[in-house]
Amino acid sequence: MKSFATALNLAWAYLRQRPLPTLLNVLLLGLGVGTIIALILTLKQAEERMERDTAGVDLVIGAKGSPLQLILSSVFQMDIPTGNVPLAEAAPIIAARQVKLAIPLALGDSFKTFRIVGTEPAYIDLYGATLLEGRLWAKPLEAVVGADVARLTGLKIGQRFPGSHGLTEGGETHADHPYIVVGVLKSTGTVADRLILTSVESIWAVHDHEEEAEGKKPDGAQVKTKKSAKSAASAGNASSAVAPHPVYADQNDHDPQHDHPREHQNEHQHDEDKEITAYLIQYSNPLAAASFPRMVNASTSMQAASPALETSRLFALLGIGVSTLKVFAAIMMVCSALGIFIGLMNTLNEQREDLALLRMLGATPATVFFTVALQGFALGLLGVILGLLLGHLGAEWMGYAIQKTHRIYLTGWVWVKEEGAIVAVALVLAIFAALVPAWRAYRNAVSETLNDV
Amino acid sequence: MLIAIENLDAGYNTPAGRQSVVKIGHLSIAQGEHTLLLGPSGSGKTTLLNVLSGLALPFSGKIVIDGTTLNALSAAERDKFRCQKIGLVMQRLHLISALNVGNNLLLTQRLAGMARDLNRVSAVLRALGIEHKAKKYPRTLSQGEAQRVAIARAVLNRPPIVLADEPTSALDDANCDTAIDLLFAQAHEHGATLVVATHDARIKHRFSRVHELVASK
Repeated sequence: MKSFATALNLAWAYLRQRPLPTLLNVLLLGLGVGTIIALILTLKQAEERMERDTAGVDLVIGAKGSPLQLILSSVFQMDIPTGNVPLAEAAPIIAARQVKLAIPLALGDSFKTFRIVGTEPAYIDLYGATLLEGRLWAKPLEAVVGADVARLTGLKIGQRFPGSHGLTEGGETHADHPYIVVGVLKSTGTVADRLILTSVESIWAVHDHEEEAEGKKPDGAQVKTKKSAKSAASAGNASSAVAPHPVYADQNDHDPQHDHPREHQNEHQHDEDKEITAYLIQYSNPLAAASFPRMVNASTSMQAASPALETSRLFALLGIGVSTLKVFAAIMMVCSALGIFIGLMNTLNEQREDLALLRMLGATPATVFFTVALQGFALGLLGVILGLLLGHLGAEWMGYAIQKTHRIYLTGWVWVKEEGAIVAVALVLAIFAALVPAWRAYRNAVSETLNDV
Repeated sequence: MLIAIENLDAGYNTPAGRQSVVKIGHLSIAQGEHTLLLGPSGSGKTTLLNVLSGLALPFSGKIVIDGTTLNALSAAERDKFRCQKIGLVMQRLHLISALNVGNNLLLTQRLAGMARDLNRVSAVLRALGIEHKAKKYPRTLSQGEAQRVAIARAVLNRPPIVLADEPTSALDDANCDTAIDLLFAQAHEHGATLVVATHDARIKHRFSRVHELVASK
């Protein structure tokens, strides 16, 4: 034990004697380990987040187009929607016996880039969200805001805010129909945190009046972009084809049960013309997965997409880039181990005299062995510590950068168990890199005599 | 007898077999009997110092130092024996490069299993006039200073024997005299017996006892 402590002291002294090579070795290993850890943290959190967001959603039904886009837009609230579907067409599908639960989603408006989602209270239950304060919406234009929305926009109960067209900033403002905050949700770590939830009828109400007020106005650039993204399938629907805001849930108001009485005035349109962006479906029976989506895709103008399938497809697509990065990071780690090995072999020549001297002063061969081995191990350990630091800072920074554009909250301040494996691999690499020079030092220490010095 | 050598045959192993370098029928050195082992290169001075210090074992024969039969000890016991009984001074192998002078001496105490004694370190450095160099690293020392530190280290643990391998061959005449003076003074002060192996005939007259080694062929 004492000789180990002596070796540790000496190893540290030798590392300090060569600050630049020491720093370079540590930096190289740190960058390799850090890259891998940042990747793992980011992927892991994105995966977990996606798992939480898709939990309980077996299927999404929406307008035809890219199934991935449908999932991204209606489950993760990231992409723009594929379009809308007529309520009338969706009604028999969601009434099918395979469907246990169908949650409607009406998308298209936002407030300070936070999406306003017209839905039902079941959506809140889906993500296990509960009210932090206030109550759920009871009338159109009442809204419940997610935890992140409340935190980042400062919206409070009783406060009014206008929705604006489109899902990015700069859309037209529905200033005439401000929403009022009636509730704030607790944080759930899901997509619900960054949404403004209201009834489907609210969305209809807002756009019904918008249409009346500005129906003759040409569409802004923002809206045109949305329009171009709309699928051909829903363009076939007469009402959406002429609608000024095609992505949005139907502008043609009317739910006889929930509509604000005022909104029934000047009513010219029919219930069948109403549109919805998507339905989140829960099966009543797992066997439904085999036939139900096929039925929807084949027999309706809508499409059915499975979140599980589409997310795994997404990860398969991303996977190429991720594994390339992982390979690079692994190469960096191996290079740094090689750097440690070469560095130690070089210093072994420099330290040969010192090591022989150590022996003459009474150091055991084991002390000499550990003096060299611990230099490699210390480099490895410092590199790993630096790597952990860089990796977590990197993930935090990435989270910060992504947050601004994608509103997905990643953090560097979590630990995942895969990190342990990376740390172990890096340390084993460093130990192996140190082992050969240390063994040679040991052999020299046993056989070396003053002759050779 | 402080050192007794009987029928010593020592050398090194080569792929072709044992290579005998030094053979001594009988040599004994009493305490205080400073001895010079004089011989040209290849005469086995270093081999002899290796076996005397227990770094290597002889092929045959017996070495008794201070009552202990060295070749009967295990390698670990010899390591321990060496750092407690023998102070070493080398031609140029003076100090651990990564440690400063003070830490070099503290390491010497530590490796010998002795208690950390800063006062002793200061005292020895002071005696050699290099106390102010305690915080200096070896590469900043002059040859003469480094030699003094090497002597300081050799006597630090109060060993009964100080073995020196070519302590003067790298020095000019003036420094050579100084180094030998210091060695004698320190050996005297600490009650150690000097055994110096060298080919440097300049210092021959300083020793009462000279054992000439011949190159064995």
